[in-house]
Amino acid sequence: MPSDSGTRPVIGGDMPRACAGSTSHKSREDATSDLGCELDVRTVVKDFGGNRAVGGVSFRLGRASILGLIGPNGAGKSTLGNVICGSLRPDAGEILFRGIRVDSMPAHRRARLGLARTFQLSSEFNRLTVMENLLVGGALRDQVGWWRSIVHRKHWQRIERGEVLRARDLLTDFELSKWETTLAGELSGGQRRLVEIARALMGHPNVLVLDEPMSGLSPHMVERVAGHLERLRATGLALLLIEHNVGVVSALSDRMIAMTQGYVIAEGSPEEVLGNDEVQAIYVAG
Amino acid sequence: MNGQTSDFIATGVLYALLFVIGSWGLNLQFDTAGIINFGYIMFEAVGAYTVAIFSLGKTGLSQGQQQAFVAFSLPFPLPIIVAVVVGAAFSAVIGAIVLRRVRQDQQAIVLLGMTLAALYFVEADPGFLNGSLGLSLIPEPFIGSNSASPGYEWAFVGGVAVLTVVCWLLVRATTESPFGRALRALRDNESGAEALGYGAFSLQLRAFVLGGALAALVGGIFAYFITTWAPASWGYAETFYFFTVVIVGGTSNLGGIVIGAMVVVGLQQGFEYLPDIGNSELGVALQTICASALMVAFLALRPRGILPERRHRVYEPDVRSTSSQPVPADPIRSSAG
Repeated sequence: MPSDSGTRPVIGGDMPRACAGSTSHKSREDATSDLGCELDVRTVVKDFGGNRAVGGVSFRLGRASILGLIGPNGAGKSTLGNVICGSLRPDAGEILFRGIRVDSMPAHRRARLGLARTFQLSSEFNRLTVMENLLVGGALRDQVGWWRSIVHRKHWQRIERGEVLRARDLLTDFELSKWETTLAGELSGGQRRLVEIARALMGHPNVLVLDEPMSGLSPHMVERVAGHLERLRATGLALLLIEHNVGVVSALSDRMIAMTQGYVIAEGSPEEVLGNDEVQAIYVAG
Repeated sequence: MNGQTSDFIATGVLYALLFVIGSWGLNLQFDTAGIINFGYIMFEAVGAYTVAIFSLGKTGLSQGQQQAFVAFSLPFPLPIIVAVVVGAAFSAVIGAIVLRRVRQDQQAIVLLGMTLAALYFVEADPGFLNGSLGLSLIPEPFIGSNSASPGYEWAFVGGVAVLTVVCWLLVRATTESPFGRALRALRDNESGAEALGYGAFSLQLRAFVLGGALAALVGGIFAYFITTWAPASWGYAETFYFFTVVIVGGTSNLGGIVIGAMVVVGLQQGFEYLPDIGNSELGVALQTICASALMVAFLALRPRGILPERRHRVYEPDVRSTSSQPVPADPIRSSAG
């Protein structure tokens, strides 16, 4: 079994050297905040009862990059995603988002900092229209005071008009325009995935954690989602792609991490990870 | 129309209006924010008792040989305003405990348990709120303890109708705002809403307080109208009448809830005209049995009620700079897919 002190791959092709790794702790924090390292995961541990779900995983993720996280069922990928996004608290380790310690913050505060996510089981708001789903994800989240909602109606209505335009642009990008007024619960599984990604983007995130976004999608839809993710990377977004579909992950990712039973067994470029004996054993055997 | 019929109709209309306001409050909690409050009647009782103890004063209590832990004699409308404030504060305290500490699927049973505990406590301690006899001789607005003139009941109903319109504007503004949309998002998927930056507890607590304040308002008006309030007025079954109104009328449809209130009050008042069947308690039991059967039938056959929730509008960007009116969402285009 690998040790708990995982190495620290730095993800991101255009990562400045200061973010790349072997500096002191303090200077590294400065680097993460100043030089484009968006997410710094340090020796994160998560146990459930006596079972170690995540055993000291570390990595760094820079702007305009995709880090692929692969592994068989029970490897701890989704648990790690939940710990990063705040649905679960880590038992040990640190998580820095743009230089700020976030590992004790609740999920909604991390989201407000710019750490967005999608879920393994899509989390659309069934009884809201597609447009409303997107509006919930945008700037109107700062207008949810009850008194403000009642008294400053003109103010939030002006913001909403702008947000509707932005949502329509995203719906066009994701080829969802014709579903704008449809309830999200009436969409197909693939469309719900796209709504969830578009909704997360409404909040102008810096990091987007995608938990198995290709799950249950048709091959055509997988291609479409992959195309969207590449375009998002080109806009400067940092993406953590947790996925079973090794072919898609390796094609999209700048770097990859392979996990099994909570531990990292390989990390590096897609070629390096896929060439690893343990990874090959898992996937060939699987 | 003789005086008795007029009073009967006025009472029915007033009950319907109170059901409407109370059910809008319950709906804010239940279907907008996703909080199942089986103790809703407790918040109505808080409003009613507050009006009683802030109206009766020590003189009123001694006249009726009643006891209360505190008494003031404030002129109308101060007691009803205090009732709403106390109802909101009480809801904030209860909500802070229940919404933060109790799992969502267990909140309903905890709130029901709290209501039963409160009910038995009030009944058991006569020094607190006059025990099972309750507080009576509550002075009516404007006329105090004097006999009401023939038109008084209708004037009362008119005042409550105006208040209902104000509540409608308030509830509608709430549900159609970013606050209401955030609550509906939380209701549909709490984790998904939190991942977008919404704190579930804070938002749900605000909805809980709003609903509790409306319940207290209803309780206060009710106490003024019947001039008495006792533990028998707030049995837990009363909460299920509010749920019946919401479920039959249509969850999250304010107009549907008006229809639901008319159905339930029509059912209740209709039993007044039936000839006595068996013992006198059978009529009361039949009201509850029929209301329960109606609720079960709707949940099984038409769970979204008579008027289902409508698409909520979004504010369209202005095409012309002069236009500032909201544009309703387009009709459903689900047929396209």
